[in-house]
This record gives sequence, structure tokens and C-alpha cells, in this order.
Amino acid sequence: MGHEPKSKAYSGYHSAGFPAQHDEELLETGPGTRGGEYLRRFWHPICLSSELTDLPLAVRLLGEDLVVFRDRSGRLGALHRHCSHRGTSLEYGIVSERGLRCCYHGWLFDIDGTILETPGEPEDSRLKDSFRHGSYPAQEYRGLVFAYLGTPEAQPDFPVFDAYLQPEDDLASYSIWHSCNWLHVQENIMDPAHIVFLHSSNNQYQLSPRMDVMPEIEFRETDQGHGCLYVTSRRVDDLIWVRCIHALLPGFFQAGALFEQGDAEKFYTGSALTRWTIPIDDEHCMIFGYRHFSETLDPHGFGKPEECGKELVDFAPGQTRHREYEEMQRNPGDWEVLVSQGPLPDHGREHPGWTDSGVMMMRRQYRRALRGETPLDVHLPQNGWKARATYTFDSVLRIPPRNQNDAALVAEVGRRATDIVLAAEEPPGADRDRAISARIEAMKEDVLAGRA
Amino acid sequence: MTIAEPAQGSHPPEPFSGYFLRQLPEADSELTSVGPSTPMGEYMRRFWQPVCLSEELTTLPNAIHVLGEDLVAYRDRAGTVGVLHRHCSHRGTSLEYGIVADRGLRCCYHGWLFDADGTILETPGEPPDSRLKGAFRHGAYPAREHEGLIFVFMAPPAEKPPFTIYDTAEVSGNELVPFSIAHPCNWLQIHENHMDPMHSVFLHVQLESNQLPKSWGELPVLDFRETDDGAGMLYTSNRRKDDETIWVRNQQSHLPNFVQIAGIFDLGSEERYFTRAGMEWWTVPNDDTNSTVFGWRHFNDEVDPNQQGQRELIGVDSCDHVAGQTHHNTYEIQQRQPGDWEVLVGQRPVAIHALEHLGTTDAGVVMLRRLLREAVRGENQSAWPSRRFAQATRLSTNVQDTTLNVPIRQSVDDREVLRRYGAAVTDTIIDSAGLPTSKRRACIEARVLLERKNGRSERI
Repeated sequence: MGHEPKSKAYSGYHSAGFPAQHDEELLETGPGTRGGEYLRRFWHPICLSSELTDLPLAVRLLGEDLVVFRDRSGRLGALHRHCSHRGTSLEYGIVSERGLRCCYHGWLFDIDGTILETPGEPEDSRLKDSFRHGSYPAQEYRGLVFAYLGTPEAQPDFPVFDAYLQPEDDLASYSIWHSCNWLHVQENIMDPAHIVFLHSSNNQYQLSPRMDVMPEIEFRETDQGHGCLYVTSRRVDDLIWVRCIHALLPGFFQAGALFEQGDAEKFYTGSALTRWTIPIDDEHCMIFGYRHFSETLDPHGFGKPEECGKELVDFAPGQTRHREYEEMQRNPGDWEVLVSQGPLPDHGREHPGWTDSGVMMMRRQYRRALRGETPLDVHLPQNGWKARATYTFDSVLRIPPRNQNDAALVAEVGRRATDIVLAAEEPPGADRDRAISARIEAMKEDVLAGRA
Repeated sequence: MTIAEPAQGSHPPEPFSGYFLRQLPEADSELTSVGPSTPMGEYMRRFWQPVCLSEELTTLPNAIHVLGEDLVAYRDRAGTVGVLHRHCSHRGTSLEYGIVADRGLRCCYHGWLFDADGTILETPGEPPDSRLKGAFRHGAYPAREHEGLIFVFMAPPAEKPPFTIYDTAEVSGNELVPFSIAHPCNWLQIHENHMDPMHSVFLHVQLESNQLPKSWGELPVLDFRETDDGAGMLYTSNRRKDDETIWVRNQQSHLPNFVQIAGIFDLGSEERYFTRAGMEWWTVPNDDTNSTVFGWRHFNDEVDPNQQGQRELIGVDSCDHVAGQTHHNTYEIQQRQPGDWEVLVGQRPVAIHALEHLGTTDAGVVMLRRLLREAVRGENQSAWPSRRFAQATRLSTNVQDTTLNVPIRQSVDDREVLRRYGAAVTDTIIDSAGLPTSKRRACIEARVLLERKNGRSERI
């Protein structure tokens, strides 16, 4: 006999109506909050390059209203949205040769907040030299605009990731708005079980049909407590498909080949998706990312760079809000499950199972980082390399079933492949990829030969 | 008067200092909060306030929101205008669903009938001997109609001032065309914009908009003065229109929320004296973060000699005077050609004065805020209607444009010339208050003649 459930049948009355309580430490991101101050230590994407036209762009990030623009000499600016003079919105301003001009009285702001002109004031006025407008450093990288909202003395170098160095890499940037807390969206990526259900067996295959059975799953902490990964390993006929997804605090993650079928042997491919989840405020967030396109990652050419952009990405239905309600109900995707968890989730009402271990690990890591219990990691390269090495990969190895306990074999192959990737000491680049590939091939031969 | 010093010391004036400038201080609630029992709310309630257009009173009641109160306005079939608390005294349903009756407004729920003064005329479901309806009154405010606008008085009836008529309506052949404009922001930022003549140079002309005639784009010589012992103020803007002509303009603001705007179309370079208002309006708070402007456009041959006004554009949430006055533009047009609506709503739902950096050109805004503050604190009794409107129901005002033939001279500082003529005209207007319009005009002409003589003798 099992235990009786804690609540009785038809007990809705007893669990209804209690006010939701959110975890303030984990979920709040405004100025001065613990989460907000931690998040402000990182560079964050704020818009697509393509959104910067001859008009300024109103954006909101970490609870702050900003305006982003590219002046006519090509420099990027990220300013507090409301004019320092009498507060009107600079989204109505005029993009100028140098800086942004307010439409109301013509004050001209440089990208660093310097007041260049107050044209209505007398010539001897010193008003414009007596203060600066609120401004943040901004920079552009391959179709995304990033800003740093933290205290200037802590500004880190701009982080470059290994995925940007993939030899044939062709990038497309995209963004998606969500009406929910950012942590929902981020922790979803450390939940491998939802791939099997939401994306594979509910209604139609949203990713690979091979993903519709529960894989062997392993979760690991990485990056001195600032990152985590999961490894899913599956039997696909005579092949074993190992897929590893790596995330870094706070909102970074990478996914491997998005159209992988696991049906042709390959030893090692890296990231097909580099993505950030960024709070707009506590109840809204943005996804910004790069899709990586290459022959190696997508030999059949399923990816569509032209279908990536603002509110648009080329994989899996249900990534954005732009669908009919009936379609959302009949074939829900990530957008529906994340946003419907509510704008600010009440973690106290959840019932996590073993498959939620990755989610719990991510929350635990984030809480430790917020409290300063782990040293800050702002995504700089290891060992003085030119890019940060990350651990997202796919391997598909021809290792036929050997005996009754195939699950143990599948799990072992996944574990050994991941060990190889984590242990690689070459700097990011083609040499590292080739070296890892060769070691995984050697590991496969060892497994086939029964060597440890 | 003093201009606030720019904020100092709270942060280093270093580049990229956004991180240090994120605090959002409280709004200036003494001037911006208008609900019942707030200082500004109580002050505003002492004045007749427009609350809708006559044309909005049809066979259906009109739900309105004024100074934080939910009301319903209607015109009964006998023609009486009523303004009642919106929720029925019986069990609170909204009288916006009521039936406009021969006399009063009948609730749709149980048929109670309310007269315009709040008297309960009928409670038809109650027994014939019920004394319920005689036992209390429904909340009601005195209302009256004037030139297409419905006005309400929302303070205790004993304090009700006489209804005031402004002298600007006396221009021969004048026609008043009513309008309203809704703004999702606090009333004060809308109202004080009128005492900021410098914004016209940039927003309305120079910054790629050309919303007003080109002559508005010249940097004016400005002056600001209190009027009526601090019950109002005016600005004087003096500009050169061309090498031969200068233009002296006065706009007047009356506490708390009424403003008179001079001509809105180019009057040319011909010499003209004392042409009066092109429009007048009240900025009426719906609540702290929503406001509706109610007013009139003036149509007459003096203020619009070329008949540029467009009556057909004027009405509910619509006016003809300058582009960008309402929310009806697309976002791209709002961004490319922002007007008053965008800059005022863009100042946040309630503008935060503590974050501002005021310059010398904001002297009018600063003066207006000071006058309002003195009034709500009771420090200036002249600004209260009991004192101000006790004598007369007709108010002599100072709004005007004057165009003068004053050629530019190489040997003379033209800014000084502008200042002197502006002061001469404005002094005369203020001194001649109360006289008929034709006499005031003659006084200005005489004073300008004197100024010309002085100017010539100085040159010798």
C-alpha cells in the first residue's frame, strides 16, 4: 500500500484562493533589489540592430525605461528615456549627427549623457555643464545591441563565446517578448523532460521525432557553480545520440543542432542557438539570441535564416504570442506553457519531481550567486583565451545494443562523451573541435572494445 | 523670482552615469494630486469646471470622471442639465445605464428617479406610504451650459461663485466652437506648457516639424508677469518677424487651470494692435493621471483674417489648431512629428519635478507653480474665487497679439529693441485693464508712438 495523498478527493475548496506569494529574492529585478543588482553586473542584449532606424527605440530593461539609438555618425546610445530638462520622452527625439535631440526644447544628449546643447538657454548658461543625463555603455555585436546597466567601475569586458568562432558559422539574430517573469523562461531550458512531452508527444513533433521517449538524463554543475548542464542520451536503432545543453547564470544558454534526427553518425557538433533571457521588469521578459547556421549543424538545410528576427524564430511552433488561441490550445509550445505559469510564479505551489532536478539546481545556483556565495562569473574567457569555452554539444555514435542492460550502456556513453568535452584543454576554435571529435571517436572504439 | 539650481552633488557628473541616476522621487503631490480632500483638488473644486461638450448630452446619459469622482451628466427631456454621482443611492448600480426622463434621470435597475439637484423624485417599487425617498438626497452638483460646454461646480454650494465671462468673447462677430482633448497624464504638465513659450521654437518649428508659422521659430525675448494680484500670470514673447516688423504676443494663464491663447495663424506683417484670443481652454483633471482639455476655438475676422480655421475638425477629442494635439496619430507619425500631446504625455503619467533641470527659459513654469502653491496653501486670498469674482462676472484679460512696423537698425541691439517694445505694449495692456477693447487699443497705439519717439531721440 502506498501513502494516502495529503489532500482528499475534490479538495479544490481547500486549495483555492490563497494569495500567491512569489520568491522576492529570485524573481525581483528592479534597481536596488538583490537580483537587479546582480543582473546589472552583466552585458545584456537590448534590441536587434535592425530595430535601430532613423528613429529612436523605446525599450525597457530591468525595470528601467530607456531609449536606444544609433546617431548619424554611427555611434550607439542607451539613455534614460525621460529628458533631464522637464521629463518628456526621448522616444520622440531626433537622431542627430552626434547624439539624440529632445523634440520639446531641442536639448542635445551625447551617448555618454553629456549635454551638448541647450539651445533655448542664454549663451552664457552653464546649465548644460553642471550635470549629465543618465546613460549606459552600449555596443553592437553581429546583429544584436548590448548594454551594461551596472556600476561603471565593475563594467566587464564584452563576453565572446566559442560558438561565435564556428568555422562556417552564419548568424541570424532574433528576439521574442514574453509576459512573464524571466526565470520561468530561463529554467525551462534545464528541464529536459518537457522536450519529450511538450515538444514531441502532445500533438505533433515540434522538434525531432526521436525525442518522444524519455532519455537517460544526467545533470551536472559546471563553471564553479555558475553553470549547469544536462546530458540526454538515447538509443536510435544502432546509434546512441548524446545531447548536452549548457547554461550559465544568469540568463545564458546554448542548444545543439535543432534539427538533429540522431540517425547518422557524427562525433561532435556544437551550438546552433546562443540565447539570453533578460527581464524587462518582474512580469515581462525578452529572449534575445543568435541562430547559428552551418552545413555541419544542419546538413539537410532545415534552418531558415530569413525566418529569424523580431518576434520570429525558425524552429518549433509556439515560440511567440502570434498565434490564434485555438492553435495555441491544440498545439501549445514553449510560449504558452511559460506565460501561463503566471506573471510571477508561486514556487510554494509547485510539486517538483526528479526530472525537475535541473530546474532546482539552476534556482539554487542563482540564489547562491545572488547572495555572493559563489564568486562572480561575468562570462570572460578561461585561461586568457579569446572566447569563453562552453559545453553544449551533440554526438551520434554507432554503438549497437550489447546486452540486456542497454540503458546503462546508453547512459555510460553520454557520461563519457560529456567528460571528454568538459576536460578539453585546447582554446576554443577549430582545433579544439577536432580534438574533441577525435577523443569521442576513440571513446566509441573503447566502448565497442569493452574498455573503460 | 528664482530659478532652481541644477541638482548637484548626488552623483558625479561622469560619462555613462545611468546607474547613479535611477531613483524616481515622488511627484509634487501638492500641485498634482486632485482627488477629494487634496489641497489642489479642493482648490480646483472652488471654480466652475467644464466637464463635457453639450453635444455629448444626448438621449443617453454620459459617464464622466472628474477630479477623481465618477459622475454622470445628462440633459433631461425638459432641457435641464444634471450632473450626479454616478452610482445609484439605492444599491449602487451605474446611472450611465439610466433612462433620461422628462424630469431627471431614472435608474434602470429599480426605477428610482433622480432630479438634477439630487432630490429622489420616485422610488416606484416601494410601498405608497414609504418615506424613504424623502429621507435623503443623491449626490449632485450644480451644472450650467455655456457656449457648447457643460460646467460643474463641485465644492459646497454656498461657495459657488458667479459664472465668469471673459472679455475675449466680445470681439465683433466672434463665434466660439467647443472642443475637448484627452490626455493620459497629469493636468499640471499640460497646463504649464502654455507658460513655456520657448517650446514653440523647437517642438513646433525648428525641429523638422513646421507645425506653426516660421516666425515662431525665432528665439523670442521673453518676459513673465503676475496678473490680478497673483491670481494669474502672462508671458510676453517679442520676436522679429522680418527686417521691418516685430511681433509682441501675450498669453495669459488664470489659476488654477484656465489659459487664454492668442492668435494661432500667421497674421502677416501688417501693423495690428491687440488682436485677441485664438483659443481658450481649461485643463480639467479626470484623476491624477488622466486629464481632459475643454475649451473653445475663437472664430472672428481679427484673429483669423484669412479664414484658416477648420470648424469641421473641432469637437470631441479633436481640434484644428496645430498638428500632434491628440492621440490619433500612428506611432511612427508620433515619433517623426511629435506634438504637444507626445511631449506632455511623454513626461510620465505624473511629471516628477525633482528630476528636472530647469533653465532660465523655464521661468514661466516656475512662476506658475509658485502661484499655484501659494494659492492652495491659502497664502494668496486673491487667487480664491470668493475674492476674485466677488465684483464682476466679466473679466478683463490681457491675451493678445500686436504687430508693429519697427525696422531693424544696425547701430542698435535688436534684442533690446524687442524687449522695450514688448514692455511698452504689455505695460499698457495691464494699465488699461477694465476699459473697453477699442480704448485699450488706442492706449497701446499712443504708447507705441511714444516709444518710437524715444527710440529716435536715443539714436540722436
